[in-house]
Amino acid sequence: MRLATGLVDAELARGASVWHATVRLHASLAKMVGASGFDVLLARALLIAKKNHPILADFVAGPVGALTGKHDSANDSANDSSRDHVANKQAAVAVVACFVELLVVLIGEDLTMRLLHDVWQGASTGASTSATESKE
Amino acid sequence: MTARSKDTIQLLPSGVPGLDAVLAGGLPEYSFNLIAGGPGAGKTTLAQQIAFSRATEAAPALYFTVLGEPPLKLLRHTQHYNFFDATRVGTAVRFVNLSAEAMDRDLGVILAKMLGEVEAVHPSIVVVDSFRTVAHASASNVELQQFVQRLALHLTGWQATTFLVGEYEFGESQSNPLFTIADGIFWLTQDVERNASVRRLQVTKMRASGTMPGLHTFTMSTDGIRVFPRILPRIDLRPRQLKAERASTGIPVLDGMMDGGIPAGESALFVGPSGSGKSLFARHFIAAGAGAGEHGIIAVFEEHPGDYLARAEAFGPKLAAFIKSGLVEVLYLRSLELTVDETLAAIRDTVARTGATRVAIDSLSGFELALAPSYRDDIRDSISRTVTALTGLGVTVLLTVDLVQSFAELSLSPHITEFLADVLVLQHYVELEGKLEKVLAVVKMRSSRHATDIRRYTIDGSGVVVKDSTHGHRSLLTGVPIISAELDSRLPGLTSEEAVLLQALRDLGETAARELSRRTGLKGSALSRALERLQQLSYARTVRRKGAVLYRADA
Repeated sequence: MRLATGLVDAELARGASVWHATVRLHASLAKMVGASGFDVLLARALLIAKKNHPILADFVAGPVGALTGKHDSANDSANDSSRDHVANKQAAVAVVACFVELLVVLIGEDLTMRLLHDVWQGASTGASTSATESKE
Repeated sequence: MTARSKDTIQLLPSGVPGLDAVLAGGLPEYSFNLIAGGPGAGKTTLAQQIAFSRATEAAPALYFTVLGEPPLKLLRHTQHYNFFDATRVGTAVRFVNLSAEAMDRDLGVILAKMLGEVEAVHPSIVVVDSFRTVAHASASNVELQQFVQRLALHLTGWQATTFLVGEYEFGESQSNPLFTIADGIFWLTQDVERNASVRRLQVTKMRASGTMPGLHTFTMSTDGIRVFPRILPRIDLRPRQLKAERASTGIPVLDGMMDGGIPAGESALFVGPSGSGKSLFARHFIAAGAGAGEHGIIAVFEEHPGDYLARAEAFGPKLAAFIKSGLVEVLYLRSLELTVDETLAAIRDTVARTGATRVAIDSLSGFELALAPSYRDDIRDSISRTVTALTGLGVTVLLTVDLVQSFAELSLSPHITEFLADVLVLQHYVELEGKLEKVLAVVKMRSSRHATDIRRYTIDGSGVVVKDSTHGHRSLLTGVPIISAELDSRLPGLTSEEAVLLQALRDLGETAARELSRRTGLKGSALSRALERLQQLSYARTVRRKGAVLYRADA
């Protein structure tokens, strides 16, 4: 869960939507596990997360890791403290967490962490670059 | 004009045990290879083992997965192998999925994607798994040939050693252009014969390299693939000095029969029926060496080592102290799907590791039973090669084998013949004076004189005790010996059978015909005729006791 929260937070820090975390995962993982393999895992992760997050009810997993639904507005920024934003973030974290758990079940924790390390590094680097740019 | 040295092709260690010996040193650098075979033959495992073994961050392996085993499952399954290292995935070993490109069935797009990755990564190893699905995208053989040629050209240009993995049948090699273009072709097969799985590897082509011909068995375990080359590599034993020219059997009388023992560095085969003490001879031999400070190995197949050693403690000679000190090692090799080469490699490896100078294989019959059925035809050849390899290095080898079929002939298992041994000792059961006795004879010694007499031996708490010669009997190996008539020459006019019968009468006193028959082996009319002749010549007479007819020798 910490990992998923970190990935979503990194997207927020870059000024992106909380829903962008799965797009970033796709960009890093689909090359190795195949786009269709990634899509299958994301669809299942979304289905699992929907049980505890009604906000995801109308969400669908689209191409390149995109999650689309009624509440996927781009204004889920870091500065938004609205109740919707909190719910969206929790839901996005839940989807990412479910995705990571599925990956762990299939290919083991070591390899999953190895693969996500690159995503994490990319997200962190992107976030810090973005933060630097905004200061300037 | 100056002489120009030939370009030498560097051979890369494959990281697959045994494969480099088949490849005469290793994988030719920058070669373009095909790993072919049916489903489950081990193609992907071989490719991955090579990739993980060879790849470094500076010279990574690029592993293209195409339609076939889903990448997630491939990654999941690969982790069961010890060569897999998650920390190197994405750096030293990079997986790239080309399923989307393959589905478009455009070879140009696939090639562009591959070459783009190659240019970005500069790999030393490239794997395409499965290439068969890439080939399916081609409209014709000509298009496929052009694609393969361009791929081979580019990958060689980028100094990559390449492996295309594909499901192919052996017959396809005649018509598929891929087989023409490839520098090396590895065929992997997995056949099921009766209830056993048999894996074999064959390198049918390897340009610029003298590969070892023939089919080589291989195994797959969590350590990956291990190949057992058909021709054994030489074992590098530690330098050692033989302590004696003869290796004592541990039984002084038997040593005497062998003119001092088994010639060191030779092989001896002990042949005998069940229960005749073959394992005891093996243990005596190993214990004698260990007592003199020599390392020894006993390879057992039929009994668990615990039982085997318990038997040693009970019937001698005791080995526990030697095992504890490390001088003796018991190798337990029991599985219903052993390959000959796998088993013998375990023995050779232990010899190399311990520097053993004595090896007892107890028994070849058990070894044969432990093998997968299809390997039994190979056993004679493999044992011969292993014994030759071991004895060539000065190791003295004792083998035991069950004697089967008739008492009257030396008939071993159809897969094992005595030719492989320098020394042959035959053990037998015989009936002597109403008791089942054990006898032995040294039948052959290639490089030494030896006794030719047949000796009785017994087994007591300390092991085997070889006794005196069995004088006074002949036809011992028939199992029903006849008492030799030492007086033949002093009994003119008697045949040898009659002389034997007379000797029996003298030994036994008044005797019924049945007992005489049992004692001498003469039966029916032959016995009647002989008794009649003895009476005619006044060597014997008939007496009646309580209505029974008995015979006795005359003074």
